[in-house]
Amino acid sequence: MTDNVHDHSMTIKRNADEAYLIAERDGFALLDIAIDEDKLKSTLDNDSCGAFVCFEGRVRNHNNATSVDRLTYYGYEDLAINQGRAIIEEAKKRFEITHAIAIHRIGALEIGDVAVWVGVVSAHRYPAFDACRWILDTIKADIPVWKQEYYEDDSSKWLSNNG
Amino acid sequence: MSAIDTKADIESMMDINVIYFASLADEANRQQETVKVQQNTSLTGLYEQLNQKYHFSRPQADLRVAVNDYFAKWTDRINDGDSVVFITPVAGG
Repeated sequence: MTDNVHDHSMTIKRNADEAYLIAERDGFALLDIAIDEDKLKSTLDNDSCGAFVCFEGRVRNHNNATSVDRLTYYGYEDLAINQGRAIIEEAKKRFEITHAIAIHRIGALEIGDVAVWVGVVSAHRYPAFDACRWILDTIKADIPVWKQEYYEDDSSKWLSNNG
Repeated sequence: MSAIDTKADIESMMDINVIYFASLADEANRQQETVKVQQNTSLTGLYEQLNQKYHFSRPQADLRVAVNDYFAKWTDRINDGDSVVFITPVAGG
């Protein structure tokens, strides 16, 4: 497609440093480059926390029985940040956690790339495990990110998490 | 008489900035547009109006809607200058 109708959703409006600052402050941001996991992890360092749990969602080479070559994620950044802030706030109410940060990457990704990263710290382990899972599930349900898979024959398809 | 009517018609219209993502951007073949609608047009009415133009593959029942970068209810009112995005089922993670 020459005049790409998706340009606005393949890159973020901010630079990466601003995105990390928003993620640190509000808990969630979109990023259009590789996710720096060490940076996020160090942001969560906290001497009162005995538990750190993280989840990495990676691009896999198949969807059901179909072989996947590559995929592209598209995001509605401002809504994603607003909704992500609400998700992290809700996670802090539901679980005994100290802090949580999540980032979703957008743009063209290769097999093995990290598409989504969630990290949670808490005094004890169970709330961190539980919150990490809940945050990831809620991101998948509510964050306005869309995925288009490309197959070997160059065809592509819009996917959906819920129908 | 008709000139006055026309002026009144224009004043009773509102400009809504519609931004398209994912399959809706493909089907509308655009990223965004400013749509003139009658005052009191509902979000449902706005989607119906655009659906007549673009024949979207998703019925409204499949979609969520966002106004000014926050999720909204289909029954929420929209005002002149608002940004509206219809959200097809998401696929993050």
